[in-house]
Amino acid sequence: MSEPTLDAALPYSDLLPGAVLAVEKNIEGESLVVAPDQLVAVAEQLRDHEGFDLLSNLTAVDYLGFPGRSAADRFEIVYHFYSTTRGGGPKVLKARLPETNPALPTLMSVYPGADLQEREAYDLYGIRFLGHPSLRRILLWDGFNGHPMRKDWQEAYFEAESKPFKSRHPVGHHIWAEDRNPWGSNVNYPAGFDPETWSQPVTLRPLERHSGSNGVSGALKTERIVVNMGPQHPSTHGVFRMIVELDGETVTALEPEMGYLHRNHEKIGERNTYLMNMPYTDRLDYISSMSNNLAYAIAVEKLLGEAYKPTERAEYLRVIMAELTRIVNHLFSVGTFFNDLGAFFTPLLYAVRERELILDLFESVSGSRMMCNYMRFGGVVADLPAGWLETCHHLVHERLPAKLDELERYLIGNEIVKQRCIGVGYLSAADALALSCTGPQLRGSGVPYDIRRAEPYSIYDRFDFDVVSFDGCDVYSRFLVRMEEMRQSVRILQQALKQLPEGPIQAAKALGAYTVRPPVGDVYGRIESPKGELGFYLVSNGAGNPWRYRVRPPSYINLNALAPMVVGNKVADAVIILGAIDIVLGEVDR
Amino acid sequence: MAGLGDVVRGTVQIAEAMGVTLKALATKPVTVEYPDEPIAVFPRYRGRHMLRRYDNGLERCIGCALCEAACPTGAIYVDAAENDPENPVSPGERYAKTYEVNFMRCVFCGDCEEACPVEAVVLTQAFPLPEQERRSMIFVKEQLLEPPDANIAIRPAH
Repeated sequence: MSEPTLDAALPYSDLLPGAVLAVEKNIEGESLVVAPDQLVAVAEQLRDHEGFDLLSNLTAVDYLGFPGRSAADRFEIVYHFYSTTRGGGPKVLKARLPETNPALPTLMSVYPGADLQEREAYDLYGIRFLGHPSLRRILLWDGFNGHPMRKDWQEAYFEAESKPFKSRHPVGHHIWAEDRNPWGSNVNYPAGFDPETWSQPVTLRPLERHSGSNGVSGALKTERIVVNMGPQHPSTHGVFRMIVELDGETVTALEPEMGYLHRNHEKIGERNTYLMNMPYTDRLDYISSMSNNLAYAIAVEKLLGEAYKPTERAEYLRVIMAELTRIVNHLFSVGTFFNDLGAFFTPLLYAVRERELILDLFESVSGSRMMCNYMRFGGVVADLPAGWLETCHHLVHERLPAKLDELERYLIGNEIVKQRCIGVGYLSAADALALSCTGPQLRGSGVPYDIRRAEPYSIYDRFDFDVVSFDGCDVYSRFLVRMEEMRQSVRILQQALKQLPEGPIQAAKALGAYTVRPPVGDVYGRIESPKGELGFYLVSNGAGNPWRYRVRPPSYINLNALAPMVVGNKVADAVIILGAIDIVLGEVDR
Repeated sequence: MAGLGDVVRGTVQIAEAMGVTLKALATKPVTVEYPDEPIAVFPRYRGRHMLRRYDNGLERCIGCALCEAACPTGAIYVDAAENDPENPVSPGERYAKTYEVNFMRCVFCGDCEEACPVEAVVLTQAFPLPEQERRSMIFVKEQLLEPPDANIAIRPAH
């Protein structure tokens, strides 16, 4: 972290005196250190007068033991704001909090989309957001002792601070964790917690914001019942639970419950070296692992600087893989969406057949269909095998366009699909932005915001493609966005295959660089993943392991909009609204 | 009431849909009768590890434990020992006395293969790894030196 520059003309010193405490220069630009009590005022200023309408990333960092930090500023809450109208880079706010009783006001009054991310920061760091309407644990349960992302927290079967774990083989052979610390006796409840009498404290929040046609009609007085949809429910695409309050068949309140697949990906990431995290990112959104690889590689390369800039050929290979991944993801998403609609598996199998051909391409180039682990800092790991380009060329120029036509012909105009989808799950453009939605969900509400166009990363500024958006604001629009985006991806692929240059696939400096030690600093790298904005916020202390490794998961944050979209619809529509968000639980729960 | 036009249009659409089904009947199935038929993977497929030998029978592994350091999940354990000059196990000064891969942890990312300076550890195309119990999922050096025997076909690169 570079030294704060303390000059007289701090931003907002005339409007909000004392709000900005310092301006910090960093690798990418600057960030404002804000007084916690003035945070809401600064955020209002940003939203109302400077056009920063999207709160993209909100996270906490624990600086315990970091050089230059003390107990008075141990925790830091970092906010990244973007403007969907102007494009370009972020506005970064940081609020520093002391070790004892860290608390700051919630941003939910300005950006309602802060909801899930604030709850996550509370859960993992124990930072209280004053005024948050439902500040409960989200990924962990109440019987969990402590806040695991804090640097001084250790799990029951703690091994070592960083890998490789020597403690696993202290006597010349493998030691099983359960021999040292038997299952059943390694659970440590917080003080005063009794699992026998515990019941889940779910508060169904009444919905304040009614958007569009989702009004509840009160013609018939019926008793309301609360139903658990999930975690074992085929419509939730994994182990995800919706607590739904029903009035007849109409949903009157909904609370998403998640964390069943939580493995504390971010803590694991802090113990790995930078390169070791690459295969872990595959397992976030396992449908589109190449995109995750790309986002992580881009974030680390920002941190590492110019020497690790990927070569030309590597940039093209990355774009080709990322766009193939987008097609894979959208095919799968559209297919399972039709499952949710009741067209059981027939459209899905049509979609998956094409997906399989692309996965074959992935397997032949990287060695694995889904867990590709293909990108490296400064390039990619392997060049294309012989014959790959011809197969890809055939797929991109002939097979995929024809098959997309076929899918479109059978699916888009289908009368039943229209009846089920149009007007369902209404989310206005303003609400979508306020709730931090990104990706097809935002573009299905008529906001043409695509990071590939707004803040081009890699070499996306060289390609000619349209940012797809439909302004139906409903499930049908989101479905149309995905269908059309596949066509745009095919367009990008056609151009990329034509322009693909020869040359090395890794930057000279990056060859054989197993341990990279980036300079001290923090960085936020993001891409337009198929599901929305996928970002990695990394803090480096100069060592080989990241100090903080934060994933901004698009499908988790898009769930902010689940309750506002579902409430007022029928319970059967809740299934397709969730399906149209396109969540993957590996990424939601991390 | 549906008019005659609707009836005709509906019939045409149903016929069209049945046409799709009939066309699918004539195409070759893409499914493979695994495990009766071998499944085809690509040459780069990342499956079970193997420790390679030189043509003269010496082990390639020199016990440097770079694979252990590169392993993201801590699945590999290497314990090196000095070679006996009379009867060497590997051509270098040292060899791997113990080489274990814990397949309960391995995620088949291939980073060990990349880290190996002598191309000793490679990921083969073998993917079936079922065992009866967790504790037999740790493969020791003798098992890893054996080439995998599995029902696998390797398809051409493309």
